[in-house]
Amino acid sequence: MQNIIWKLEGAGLYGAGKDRRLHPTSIEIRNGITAIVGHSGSGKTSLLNLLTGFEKPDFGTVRRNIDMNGFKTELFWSPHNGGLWPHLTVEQHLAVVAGKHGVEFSNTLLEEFELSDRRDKRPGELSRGECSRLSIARAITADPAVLVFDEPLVNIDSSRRRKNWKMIVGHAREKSKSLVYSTHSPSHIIGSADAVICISGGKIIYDGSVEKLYLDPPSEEVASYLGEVNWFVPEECQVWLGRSSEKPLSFRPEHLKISGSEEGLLKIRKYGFDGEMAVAELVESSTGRSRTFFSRTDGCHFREGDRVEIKFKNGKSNGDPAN
Amino acid sequence: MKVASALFSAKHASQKKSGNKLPHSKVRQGLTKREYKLTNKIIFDCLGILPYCILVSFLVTIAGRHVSRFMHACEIRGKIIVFCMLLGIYFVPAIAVGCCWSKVSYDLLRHPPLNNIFYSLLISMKLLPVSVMVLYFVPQTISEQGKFCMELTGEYSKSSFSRILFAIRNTGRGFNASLLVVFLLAFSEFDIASFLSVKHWTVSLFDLNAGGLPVIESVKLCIFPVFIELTLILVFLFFYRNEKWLKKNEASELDLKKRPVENYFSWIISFTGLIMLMMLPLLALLRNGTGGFSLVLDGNWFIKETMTGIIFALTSSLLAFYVSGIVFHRFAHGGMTLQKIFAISTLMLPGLMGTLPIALVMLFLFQMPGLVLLRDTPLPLLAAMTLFQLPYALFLRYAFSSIVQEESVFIAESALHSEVSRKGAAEILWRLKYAVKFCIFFIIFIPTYFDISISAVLSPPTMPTVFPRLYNLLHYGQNEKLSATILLSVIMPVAIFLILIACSRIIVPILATEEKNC
Amino acid sequence: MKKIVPVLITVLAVIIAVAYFAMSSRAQDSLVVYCAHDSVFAADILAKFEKKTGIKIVPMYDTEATKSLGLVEMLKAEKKSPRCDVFWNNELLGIMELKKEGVLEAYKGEGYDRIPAKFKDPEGCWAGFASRLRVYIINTDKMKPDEKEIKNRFAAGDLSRVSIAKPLYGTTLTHYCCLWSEYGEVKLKRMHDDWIARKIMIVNGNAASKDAVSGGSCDFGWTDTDDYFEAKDDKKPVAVLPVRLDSGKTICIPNTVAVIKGTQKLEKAKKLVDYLLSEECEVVLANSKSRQIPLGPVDEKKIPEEVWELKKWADEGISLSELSDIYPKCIQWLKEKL
Repeated sequence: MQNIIWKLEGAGLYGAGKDRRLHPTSIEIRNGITAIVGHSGSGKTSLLNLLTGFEKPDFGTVRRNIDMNGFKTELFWSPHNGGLWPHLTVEQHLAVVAGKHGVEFSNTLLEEFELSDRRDKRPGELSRGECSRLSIARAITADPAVLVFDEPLVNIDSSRRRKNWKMIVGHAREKSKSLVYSTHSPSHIIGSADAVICISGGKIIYDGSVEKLYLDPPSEEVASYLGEVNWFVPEECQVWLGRSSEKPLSFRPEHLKISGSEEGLLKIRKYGFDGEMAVAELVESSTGRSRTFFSRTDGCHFREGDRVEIKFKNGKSNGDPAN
Repeated sequence: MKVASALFSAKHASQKKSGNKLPHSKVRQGLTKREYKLTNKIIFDCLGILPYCILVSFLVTIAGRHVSRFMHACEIRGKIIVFCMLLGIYFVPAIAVGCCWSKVSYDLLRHPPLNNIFYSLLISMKLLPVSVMVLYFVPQTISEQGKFCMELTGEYSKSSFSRILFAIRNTGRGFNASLLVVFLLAFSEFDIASFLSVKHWTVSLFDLNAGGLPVIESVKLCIFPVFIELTLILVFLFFYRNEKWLKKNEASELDLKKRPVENYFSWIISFTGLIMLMMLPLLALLRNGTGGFSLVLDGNWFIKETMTGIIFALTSSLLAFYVSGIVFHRFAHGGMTLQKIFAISTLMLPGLMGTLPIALVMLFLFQMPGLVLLRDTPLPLLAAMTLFQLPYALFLRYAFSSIVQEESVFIAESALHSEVSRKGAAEILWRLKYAVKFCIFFIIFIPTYFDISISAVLSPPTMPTVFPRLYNLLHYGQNEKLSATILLSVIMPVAIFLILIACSRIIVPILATEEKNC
Repeated sequence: MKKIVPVLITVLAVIIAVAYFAMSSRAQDSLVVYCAHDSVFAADILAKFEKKTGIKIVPMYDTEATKSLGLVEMLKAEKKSPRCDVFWNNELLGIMELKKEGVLEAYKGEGYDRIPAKFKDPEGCWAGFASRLRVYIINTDKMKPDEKEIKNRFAAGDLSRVSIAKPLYGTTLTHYCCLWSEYGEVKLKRMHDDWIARKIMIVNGNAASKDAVSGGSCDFGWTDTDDYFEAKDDKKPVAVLPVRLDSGKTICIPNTVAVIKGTQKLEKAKKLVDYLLSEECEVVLANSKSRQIPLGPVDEKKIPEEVWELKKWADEGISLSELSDIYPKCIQWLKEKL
């Protein structure tokens, strides 16, 4: 049974005036890796601020129960602006939290985060990306039981992002640490996080497993937090999927494939590839209705007017009477 | 001065024509002819000194900006040296500066504008440390990149008014805060003005108390100068009312470019200030011989009176610091409303009157039935000192707020819990958080410790403080003893402060732990 | 910081309270003396008195800086509940004011008897001792010490190199009151306006006037004998001449002492007054740095020769008894003028 490390009961924060930055929230965060996802201004940072204790709730309670379990400290935080110490060099940042016995470890981290040749620089002399990497390195060096990161990779260039993320998650798993982080990027949730919390307009709209959110999301909005989804309301199912449904159906891009077909009921209006998936605007011949589909491409390319069919993960297509 | 005298000569001319009768409006206000003349005198002197104070505030702030930028950019050793020089300048009491330079002013007295310029120069040097401290700690609200973007848009070059407005906004709280604090200190300065026989409203107010003046009249005479001070403060608060007092955004990026000319300028001006305001007065004091030291330390009066002065000034500084903290935190959220501005001005009002009026009002209050029982206690003295310091404490709290990212401070505080990082975290906290509070405390402690008016009027007979005695020694030409007393009475609090700084590594974790437990 | 600051304030407040109560209880039987004299010598004299009589003294010294409201005003303010027992003033006008306000207790003891009549209150409310003279201090590098030349300069010459202290306070105020008494209100006001028009240099105090002359910024100026001696002791090129009014009288301004009405320690206060008015005290002050001129009979051998020379001038001093009526008018005019 996973331990509960945070329990929020009706906790929230006011914003300017009497607006609520974070509405009364009651959630539990367990050991493991928890992602917090939401659009800009949704309240991710506010929630993380409550968890770390940086802000006290304006209403409700936040209870923390972290078992240190031999780690040096309960919790360490990497805020969105880095929270660096302007007068210390890179090396000194890690030295403060590492202590005498952590020198070797901090040197290793400097190497891994490619900061070795910047060790004598102060935050004012580093780029934003370097500041972010330093903030993360410092948090890891502090060897806490729980790591809390606020959009840790947002300033890091894409060439380093995957590597750094892999290091962070690998470190957390290897040392059995908990990790709570906020992100915009679905790729940093799927395959990494055990649980995900979706937040919108200061309210929690989803709190549960990543797998469930990915495969069986409760709404299109929530589904979109883990990437593109092909969402069909009941009325659309018959038109596009060739079957009826009482509840909405969703298909992730990899669960759906567009194939050329002479007898296909759908025509291509527009087709493109955005680097990660194919984006196709299809027109239904009989009704003339159109909508956009997201799918993983296998290298096919279509032109306007081509007839196509949609195949689903189970091998059936939209033309099949029961798929 | 010419404009002011023209204005007032017109008024006096009309008074003469009407046979020295008061204008009807003044009669209605219940002013006697004498009160009217005295009030006019104070107003005239205020207006006379105003241009010099404005000049001082601009000169000092511009110089302070260069020095603070230099301090940001230079290495730690250079920072410490410059900081110590500035500290030396600020720590020298006005009596030492006045004694040293009053002789120069005798030649300049024949040319009052020259004398005023000389006085302005001395005051500028004296207030430079305050400006540097404000500018060093308070960041610009717009970053260098932001400034550049504005230039790119072309809006910047559209009209001189928009350029000026942008400059005011651009230079931000720090520059304008420095302008304001320096102006307030220059405008309410008394000691050096008195030594140099400058026509300052504070000196005039003091003179008008000769032979006694009812307290209420003294207070009435302060109305105009306090009105000027309060107006400027309110304009400042109003102008920045939409900026949240506690920012959680990043501090603006600093301009760390190395500027050789600025470096030379900073060193030169710091050295010049040190020489003019510390070295030369020190030499003048030491020239009187070192025999005074044994005379001073012989009896126990010196230790007793100096410690009394230090303890009273410490206590009142802590009180002012604490009260200003409560007010600040209560008002910190939600921006500056009219009610808040009103409340703050009420709190600031007594202090802005200056030490002499506060002392007189307190004396008057503690002569009233009921309160007269407390007259001989330390309470009147403490209350007066605290009231004097409150406006500065409040203002400095505001100006110095959000000078570091709060996240950085929070992380350092969290790191205190770990055995491994406790020592390093304590040092970080000192730099980021407590050093600033210490600076505020230090800035308000010094003028209170050196003050004479409040101490002389309100000290309990059994607990005199040392500085009123200095003026007795000065009056009677006891130069040896005077020199020794000045030096020793300055060294003692300096030593205490340096010990406190040195002990910061021990004190800070205790302070931080206490705060986390609150 | 939230808890530490109130704790620190409490600790310091307790220290102050303890110190206050400790010192107050020790001072309960002590005489509270308000003293406008030089604290160095006053402390010495008061210490001698303490040793001689066993009566403890708690002195409060006046300052240059607060002389505008100083001890005289405080005594007036405290009239209903005085805390001072004896007032030792360094000049005359203030104590005359206090007599008018009914702040002083009449006492004619043995000390009072030895002081000449023109330097004491006929009703015994105050008595003078150890005086200073109003003098011209002359920079001998700039001009010869010549009374005639000085008079001519004041009458019609350039005054931009002549310094006087601001006449709102102390002995210079007394000087102006003497001029008012000698010449009358109208003439004095005209003289003053004329001096201002001829750019006489008004400095911060007698010490400043002395410094301006001895430093060479001015040729001569008004000051007191104690300031002159300070310049002389500093080996400055200075000489001294007494200020003489048209009647030939000099201006001799004594220290004054009085018992405060309502004192709870009357007998002790009387002892101190007698001591201050004694020959012993005047001799000590004559031999001090400020060379104060004894007013009562003293053994010539016990005082320095230069002080004895001054005593001759002091004996020619103008009567100061009328000044109590002139003082309020004079100061009122000066406040408006300056």
